[in-house]
Amino acid sequence: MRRLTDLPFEARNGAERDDRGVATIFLILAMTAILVGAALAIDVGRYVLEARSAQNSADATALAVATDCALTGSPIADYTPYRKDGQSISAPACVENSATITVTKIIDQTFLKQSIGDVDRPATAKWGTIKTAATLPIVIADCEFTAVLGQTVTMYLDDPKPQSGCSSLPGGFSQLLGDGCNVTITAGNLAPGKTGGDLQKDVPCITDPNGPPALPYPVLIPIYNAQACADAGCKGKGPYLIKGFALLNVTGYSFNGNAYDGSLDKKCPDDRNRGKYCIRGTYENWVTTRGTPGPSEDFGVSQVYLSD
Amino acid sequence: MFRSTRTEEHDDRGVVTLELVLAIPVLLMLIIGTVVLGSYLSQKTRVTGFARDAAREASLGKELPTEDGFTFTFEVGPCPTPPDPKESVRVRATTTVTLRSIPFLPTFIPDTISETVTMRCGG
Repeated sequence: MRRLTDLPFEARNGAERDDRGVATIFLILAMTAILVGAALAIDVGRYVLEARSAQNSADATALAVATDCALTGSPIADYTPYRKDGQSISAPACVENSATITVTKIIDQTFLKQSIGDVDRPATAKWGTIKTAATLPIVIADCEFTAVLGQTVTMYLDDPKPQSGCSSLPGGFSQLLGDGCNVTITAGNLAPGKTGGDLQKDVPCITDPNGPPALPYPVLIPIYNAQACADAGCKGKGPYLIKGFALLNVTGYSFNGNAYDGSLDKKCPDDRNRGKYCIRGTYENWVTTRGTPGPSEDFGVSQVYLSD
Repeated sequence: MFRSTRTEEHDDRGVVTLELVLAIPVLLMLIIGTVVLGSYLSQKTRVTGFARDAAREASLGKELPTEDGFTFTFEVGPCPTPPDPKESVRVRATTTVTLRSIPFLPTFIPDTISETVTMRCGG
């Protein structure tokens, strides 16, 4: 203390000035750091938000494009509702069962830079046939599936007189061994059949008024290889070699006078005494979320999913 | 001589204190402002994420999810059962902003954040 006060005035004064300079430099550096930190925090936050939003739009648009591709073969809809203002998408196209959409958003007027450029987020949605699905325990021969999508058919359980030239087998549809609506079918596998079952009890998904929504509604139906079945002598009792899945938009059913709805009456339109159990519906191109994707024969049912 | 030096010293310290008093509000505004805006962006990102998840669930024909502090509503939809691939569903996710006020500034941050995501049914 004494030594300090003993120092010449000039020296002490100089020391004071030095201190003040350090403080100012420190303040400037600290303020810069704080400002840059604040700007960085907010800019990065905004970038993350825009990236997330762009990814959402990319996913939604890719799924919509893939759905249209699966249904019609080309992207037909207006995809503006699937993205946000200021986002732009790459041209939608259906390429080899997949549609890739990149959503771009230009981020400008940030704190640190005039423009930090684009944020690009891609999404790829694929579509394809179904490998495995939980369906109604009924099965249709591939020769009964006329492959004319949009055509209305009336099918009879174990039809003794096939209606569409399917000569090797009882036509219409057959029942599968299963529990309610929850029989799980895999394409390429054999599905055990069931004879003489009461479909009315076995298919509560169709007959239960509290279960399914009002007709018409689409039912996923496995299609089996009739030739393989005939060669193995399965004659309406299976097992059935499953080829793939078709979608029958059910418009009516009639089960032995006990349960009926939609376009069918108490009795089947049975001019040739074909059977007491019948289902009427239309084969349709459809996109479903049921089942797992896989290779199987294409009967017009596709599955759409995000691949990455 | 001695006296005058001491007076000078006192004056200087006063200036520093005054500068500090002036700087503290600005510093507080900056720091709290960063926290508030950062928190807002973070919440907005979370809402966007949940809106997407909810829209995806809805497009698959499932129920809207529940999440603490977030509400989900249908703007368009829900999808018919079973999902019709020609229809779309739009879900809005909303949450309340927790940090809104920055000192010395009027509150300009909205009290709720919401975000919509549109998705095709059955996709």
